[in-house]
Amino acid sequence: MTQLQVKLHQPWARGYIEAGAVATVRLLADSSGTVTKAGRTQQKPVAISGGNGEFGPYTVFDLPGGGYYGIDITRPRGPDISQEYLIQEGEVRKETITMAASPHEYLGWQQYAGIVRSDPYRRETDRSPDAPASTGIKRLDTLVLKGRSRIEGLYRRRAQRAPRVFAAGVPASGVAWALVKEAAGGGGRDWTRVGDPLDWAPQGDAEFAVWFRTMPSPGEGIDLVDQLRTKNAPRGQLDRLFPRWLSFQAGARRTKAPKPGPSTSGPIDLASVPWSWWGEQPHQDEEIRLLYDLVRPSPVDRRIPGHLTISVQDRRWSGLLEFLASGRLNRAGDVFDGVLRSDDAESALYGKFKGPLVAVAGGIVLIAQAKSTEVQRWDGWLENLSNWFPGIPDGPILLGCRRVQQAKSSQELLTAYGHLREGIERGIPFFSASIRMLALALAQIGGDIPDAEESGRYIAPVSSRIDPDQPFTVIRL
Amino acid sequence: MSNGNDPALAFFDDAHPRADPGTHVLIVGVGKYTHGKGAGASPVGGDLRQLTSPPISARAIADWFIESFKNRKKPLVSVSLLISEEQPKAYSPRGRAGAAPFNAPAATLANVKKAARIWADRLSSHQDNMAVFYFCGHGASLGQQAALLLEDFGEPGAAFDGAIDVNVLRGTMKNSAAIQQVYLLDCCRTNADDLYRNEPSIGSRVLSLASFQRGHSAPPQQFVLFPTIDGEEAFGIKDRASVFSSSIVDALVFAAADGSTGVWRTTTGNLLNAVDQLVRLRVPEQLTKRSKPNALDATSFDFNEIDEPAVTRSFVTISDLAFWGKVELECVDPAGVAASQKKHSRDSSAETCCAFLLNEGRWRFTGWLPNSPPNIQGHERTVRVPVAYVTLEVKP
Repeated sequence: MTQLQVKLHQPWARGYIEAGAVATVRLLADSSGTVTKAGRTQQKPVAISGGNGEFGPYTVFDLPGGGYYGIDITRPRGPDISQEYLIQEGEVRKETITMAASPHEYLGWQQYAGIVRSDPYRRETDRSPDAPASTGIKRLDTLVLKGRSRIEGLYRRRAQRAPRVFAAGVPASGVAWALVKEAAGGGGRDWTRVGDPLDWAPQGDAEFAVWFRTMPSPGEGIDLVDQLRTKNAPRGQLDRLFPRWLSFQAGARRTKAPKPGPSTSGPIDLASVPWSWWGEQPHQDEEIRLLYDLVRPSPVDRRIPGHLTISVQDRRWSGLLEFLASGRLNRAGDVFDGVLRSDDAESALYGKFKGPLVAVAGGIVLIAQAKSTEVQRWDGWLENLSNWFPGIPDGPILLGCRRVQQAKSSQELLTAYGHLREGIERGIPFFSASIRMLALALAQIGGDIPDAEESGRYIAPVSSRIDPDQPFTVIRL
Repeated sequence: MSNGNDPALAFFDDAHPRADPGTHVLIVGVGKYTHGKGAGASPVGGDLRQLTSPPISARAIADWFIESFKNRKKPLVSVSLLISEEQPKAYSPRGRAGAAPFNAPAATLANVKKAARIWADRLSSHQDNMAVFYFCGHGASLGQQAALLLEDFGEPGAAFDGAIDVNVLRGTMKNSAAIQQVYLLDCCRTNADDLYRNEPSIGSRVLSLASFQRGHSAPPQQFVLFPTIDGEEAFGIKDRASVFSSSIVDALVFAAADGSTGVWRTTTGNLLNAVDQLVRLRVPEQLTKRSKPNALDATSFDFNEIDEPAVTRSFVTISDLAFWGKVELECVDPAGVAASQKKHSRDSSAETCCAFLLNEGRWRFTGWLPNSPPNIQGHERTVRVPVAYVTLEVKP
């Protein structure tokens, strides 16, 4: 038996992620270095261990014999990690591949996901003292100079302090889309601040601010899920602790009462926070991270430094969420099928496992990767997701997208459009992918249903403001 | 299916059995912007620079499809080509001596609409047809919205019409019978993105396809490749194909192929990996950080096949490009059987790597600077066909 057992190690991160990357192993040459006929590659998900690398299981690759083996690790973002090992016949080789370390424990998982730089303290434009000022190759020098001046400009203008955080009054109705359009066009933004700034003190350094929030207790988790069972759940203490929408306002005035009329404040990131993700069953090392990069601009606003990232650190789902957000779901191939086949998504819907937002994430992946429009077992729970949780706009959107795929008549198409409209009327979705799917579905039926084309135009001001690299909805105003 | 009256048709395989599936390609290259910078500048389009790369890139892609594309189940049947350039030139497909030169229609909204309609009509003949759409020119992108700007973008009175809304194109094509669809969108990302600030919806519907008439129950599989390169400077060298299109062609010719199943196949998933790698080699990191629209439902499927590669194309670069132009690189066979190969980086001024053709096996990669420290740290590894990427560390 010859084996390669592999896992990844993300220094300083807490806990572990079960399937955070994809490893591809192939035989390169025999033990003498003589290349062999190309054999089949093996591709499997691998765990990422935080701490000192002691957490999480190894992924086992059974090898045909001794030789030089190449392994390529694909992460949600950034280049692949490639290694080569000489493994002797009969050897069981355990390898823990350590990834670049973050200087801060609190940035470990963001480091893995490719959300933060490998060394936040080192400017990307830094040069070693021995480095020449110019390569002597005009085109390369021009390109590097352009890139450097853009990044230098961002550093110069970076936010000097963390943004202030407010609960935002985003209505759970179709009006929300219009409010965003108006605010993005320079109109009223008062609704982005409900009451005083939240008394949330961030930690961080010159480049990042991070808010460490206590996650909902099991009882609060149940209550948060219950809130999703009604469209306009009453606001109360729970909503003050865990506001559905947060706004991060850079350069916001310190005055408590908002000034009437058009705001003159800096950029605002409006974030949909999935507090109910775990329902009543959070693990100790699982949490939601709110990270503000004071230097890097939002993909939607590239001239102004600073943007917010929300990430869910979940043993089972973090990897899938990040691959989904980075657009690399296809690079992960079918290896994440195990995550979905375990019925976690369906169990979440019935309250047996985590919260219904897990079912939304599962539904997005299942619809995106569906091989057939024939009715699947999960078609049934898409209906339930839509019907049982009026507080989740994503539910009818996913159902509508699936029904558009399946429509065989004008009436079925109208019904599908009805679901999409229902989703729009419930407000802005939790997941950015839901908004993308909504836009595509409306475009698909726009030729047949003129109202759908109109709905597409209605949501466009929001979809053009969404950070496309994040799993959850973050809107730049 | 027919070649019909299609002024954009640059290639059509008349011998292809009408009932069999095939691949149909629509190529749009826009270098000339009537209302861009210059005499015809309009308030909306006036910031768009005239480009030289897109017509060259469009022809290079057409050449590759006509000359080299190989898919046994879906052979190439048609290539439609629209090109806008300052001085229109006839197109003569490479490798098809005797073929009459073809005058591609300009990539205006009206012409693209007509070509797209005929392309979609050809695709409707079989669910196993494969659609390929390639665009090269200016693009605008913000959040989840993206538009491909055509020659007449910015026309007074209809300023935002002369563009293709990518979401609308993809959404509409979900009604196409063709299951597998490939979109290769080669846009330089410039200040055109700002257009979305005042106009959340840019572009026109270039195609209308009725819903629920696909005739089968398999959902479409759309693969979308969209560059992350920032700015016109990184887009391409004047009068040469763009970095992104060159990388696509190289990925298709060799880098993306995988022989592990016995046939050297390129899947769309491998294409994404290979283009990523090749672009990283050719554009400094500082310019590749821009965001991109996600290819959410991009599934991986077979796209192309190549003959078994005989040598490994090995791309060698260094970790700090400040020393590019000064470093000399060498590949040495540790067994001393094959001859060593040396290249100087100053001779690879268009790229940030040196390419070596190496036999499969163990190789030692080394490099020297005229003054040290810093030093280039050597590296020994096995290289296998079709491609190897080697980055040597610059150590202080």
